[in-house]
Amino acid sequence: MNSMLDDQFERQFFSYVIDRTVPANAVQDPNALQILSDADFEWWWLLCSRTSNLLKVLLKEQATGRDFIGTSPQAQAGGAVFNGINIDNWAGTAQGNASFPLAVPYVMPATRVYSLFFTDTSGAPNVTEVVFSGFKLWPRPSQA
Amino acid sequence: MTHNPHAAGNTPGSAAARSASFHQPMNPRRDPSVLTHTLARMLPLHSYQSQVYRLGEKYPPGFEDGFTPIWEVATALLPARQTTQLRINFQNQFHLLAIMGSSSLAGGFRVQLYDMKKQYCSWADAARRIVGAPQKPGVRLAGRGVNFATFLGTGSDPFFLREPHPFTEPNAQALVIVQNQDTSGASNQIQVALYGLARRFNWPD
Repeated sequence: MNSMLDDQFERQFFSYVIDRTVPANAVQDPNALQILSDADFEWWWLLCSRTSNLLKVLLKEQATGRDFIGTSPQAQAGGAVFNGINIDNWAGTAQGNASFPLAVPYVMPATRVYSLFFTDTSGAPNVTEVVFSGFKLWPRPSQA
Repeated sequence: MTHNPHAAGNTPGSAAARSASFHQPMNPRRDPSVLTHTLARMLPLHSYQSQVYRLGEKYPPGFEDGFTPIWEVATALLPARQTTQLRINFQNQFHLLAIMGSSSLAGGFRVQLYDMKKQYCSWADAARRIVGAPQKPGVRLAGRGVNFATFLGTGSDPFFLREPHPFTEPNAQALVIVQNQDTSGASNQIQVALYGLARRFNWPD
């Protein structure tokens, strides 16, 4: 194996899943996803299913406080509260190879907590599933 | 990569020489005579737009470390035919990879994107490759306002740029101008999302 290409990890396909029935008209309904303690997770793809597309989402990394979804005051017409990106602008589906590719992967460290905040405007309970698809990074024993 | 000292001017020969020196060769060196369609280099065989970034290459050159995915969002609620300007202030070294958008009404909207801090040099003499003075900052990313369906994708069908557009100037800012094209009388909920990579604020710690 070319050492320039080998980063000494075994990659195992894995998906982290959040299932949530977002209450009708909920505003920034909080949900937590914790990366398992056994391995870091290399995030490649983003998928979701929902009852209604009238759903917005925010994603935040708790340890760093990093917001993955942002806006600017001047990008929010009318001064309304920013409740996130429309779910259908953010994530795709598995069918038709239509999941959203990050293009450059993001490593979610083991045990780190990510918060998703859902805002529903459909007026009915919104059955939602968000899937972070990628690889667990298992260490590979060094070869003598 | 080879450098051709005669690659100036607009003769077919010099254009070919510039192309050969600037781009990666289409064929491996060992198969120099295998004919390849001229568009084959634009997309992979499966030609999914989402595969424009070669997924086999884990971290493309320039994005090896310290970047995090960011969605920057511009939102507007516009009555019929109304226009508004939205400005997005980017995080450090934001590189635009894909653009998505949505309209709540069937009429849709038109959108124009500007990079407010980008500055390119002009040609003093394009034919002789003499570089002129820098233009004033600010470039538009389309010749005119574009119908959102022909400019923006969605999460399941994102529109990926063939190469990232860097917003790397200090205090980089995008101007998003949207005009509601729906005439039904109801207000249109418009959202434009710019997906890209930004340097972690605590990088390289």
